[in-house]
Amino acid sequence: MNTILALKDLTLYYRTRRGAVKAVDGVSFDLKEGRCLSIVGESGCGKSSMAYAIMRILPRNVHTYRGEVIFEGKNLLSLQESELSKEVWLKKMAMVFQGAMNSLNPVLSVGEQVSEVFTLHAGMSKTEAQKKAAELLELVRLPATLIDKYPHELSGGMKQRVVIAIALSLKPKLLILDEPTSALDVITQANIINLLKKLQEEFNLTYIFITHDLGLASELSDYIAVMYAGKIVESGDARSVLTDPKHPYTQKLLAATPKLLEEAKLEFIPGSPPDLAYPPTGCRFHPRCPFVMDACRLNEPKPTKLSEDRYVSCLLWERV
Amino acid sequence: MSTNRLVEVRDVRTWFEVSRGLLGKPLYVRAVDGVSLDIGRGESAAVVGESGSGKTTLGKTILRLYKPKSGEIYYNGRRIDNLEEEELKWYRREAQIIYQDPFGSLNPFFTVERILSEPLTIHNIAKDYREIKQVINQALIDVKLEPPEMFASKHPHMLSGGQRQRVAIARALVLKPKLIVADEPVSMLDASVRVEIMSLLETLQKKYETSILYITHDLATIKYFSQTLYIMYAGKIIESGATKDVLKEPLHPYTQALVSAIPDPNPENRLKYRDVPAGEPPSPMAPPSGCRFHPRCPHFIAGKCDVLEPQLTKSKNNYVACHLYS
Repeated sequence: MNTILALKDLTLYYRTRRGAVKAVDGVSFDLKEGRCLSIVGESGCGKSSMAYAIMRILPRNVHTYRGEVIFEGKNLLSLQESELSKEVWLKKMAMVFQGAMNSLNPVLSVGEQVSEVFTLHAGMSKTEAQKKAAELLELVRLPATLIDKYPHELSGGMKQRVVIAIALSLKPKLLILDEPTSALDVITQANIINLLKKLQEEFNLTYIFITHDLGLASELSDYIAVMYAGKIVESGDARSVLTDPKHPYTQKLLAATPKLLEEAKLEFIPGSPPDLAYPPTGCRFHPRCPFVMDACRLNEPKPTKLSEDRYVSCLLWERV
Repeated sequence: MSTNRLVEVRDVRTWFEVSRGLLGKPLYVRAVDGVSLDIGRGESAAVVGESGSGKTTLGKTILRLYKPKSGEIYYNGRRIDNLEEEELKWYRREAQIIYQDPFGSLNPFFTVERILSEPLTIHNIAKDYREIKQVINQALIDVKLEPPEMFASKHPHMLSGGQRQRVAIARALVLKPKLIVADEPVSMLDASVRVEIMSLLETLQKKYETSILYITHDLATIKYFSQTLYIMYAGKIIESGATKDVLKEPLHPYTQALVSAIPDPNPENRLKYRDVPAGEPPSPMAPPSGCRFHPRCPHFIAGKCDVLEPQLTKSKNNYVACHLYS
């Protein structure tokens, strides 16, 4: 299986009045085609920023943006903006944004919004595009009658399906899903996750799934990367991260995840995530870590390879 | 009535009039449509349901922020559903609410001190500023916003989400209420903070012997903090019982769907599809006939489920409203 996406030292800082906010700080990973990587972490840890940095959809207040995003052999950071919009966005990689179901235009019908992609980006005629739109709705298991409906006539789950349909319209290979079900009810959420699994099988899609919920991450992921304060602190195949977490943060996060069927005691992580304008020195988790040592306050841990595809950034695991 | 019940709700309906039809016949959103439940003294109970199930309306009706269309509500044996606003001031002191959104529920122009002192002034509780200050300090210490002097002078925007929710809890507690309705108190917070806030609420509830009614959609979190569950669907309670019984052996097909829809962190989840009903909850303006879950139910019995409304009856350890058990 070939590597479709490789990040090398990807860094994104925002310029603010309080100084540079280090939202993404030197992130590297490889992702194989047809697989799903989940990025898990608390709010404000830089998960969404990493998605924007991969897609190269950046706000105005960028302070630093460097590193490499190698997608199918090309570094996206060295492309022209016009190349990105002509060749990459939607055609190669697409994104379902957080709360995307509120991004539908309330005065356009579902059909108009779905077919717009085909008229604008694929140069199709209106009738052709309408036909394509109907096919797309079928793909996400929505009735074709929805084509004449307006967003307010749809339930949350239906709107989310429409947004997924639009993201898939030009057959991208990589789909970034930023908390795609966070505003939905649990049964609707389960239905959307089922759909995402089926679509992945059908089209050999590669997913990056961003979530704060480890339970939800276990539904889709082949790999899990745990993010804390702008850095990936642990990564590996989903099974070993979930059943044998190595980083104290991952261990705490798992212990703080409610389990419906298990009788484990529920814990919490004292303290709160750091201010990314002034992250702690050394290991960024050290102020909250139960195993903190003196060295953790000074030395920043490097990713230590534990086995194939399995990394942890923690001084406890760093061999001298 | 027995003395261990603080609140008794009997067949309450809260309907909202939305518009009048052609012949002037009113149309209603039947948010709460015939609900009965009890809250014991010092008990924590939870109403669990998806959005639109009427759970928040039920909570607000119990607090008499809404007046029910029919049914009866007793608090401490005293009937409160038919009281007018001016007759309710004593109840406002006994029963408090914690809202979901700590960003929206605190006045941004007020300092924490002012937010916490308002209930005391309105109810004429403290006799002077010194006493107000004392009560506020204690409340801030209770919710672990220490040192209290430092937090008292802050405005909400200077606090994190978790800290704001602590202020909201402190505000609910300054009046030493006997009943708190907590409407999704942690759903806007991070997983690691959720547990901390819920544990804090539990500690304070025990300390002050308060009853709490949680309103939530999050079955996985609430199971750690509530002894009793009421599962709500389309304006009705469809199953209730002790939390451990309901989760161990859910009886209603809807409860079964809820339980099976929630993923625990388990690598096996990657390999399977979840067996959940398709479709969406019905419109509260025109709920389905018979059992309201029948259009989505995998065990639908034609001629029965779509005609007869199932009543909540005891089956095994739980109460369930489903024809499979009657």
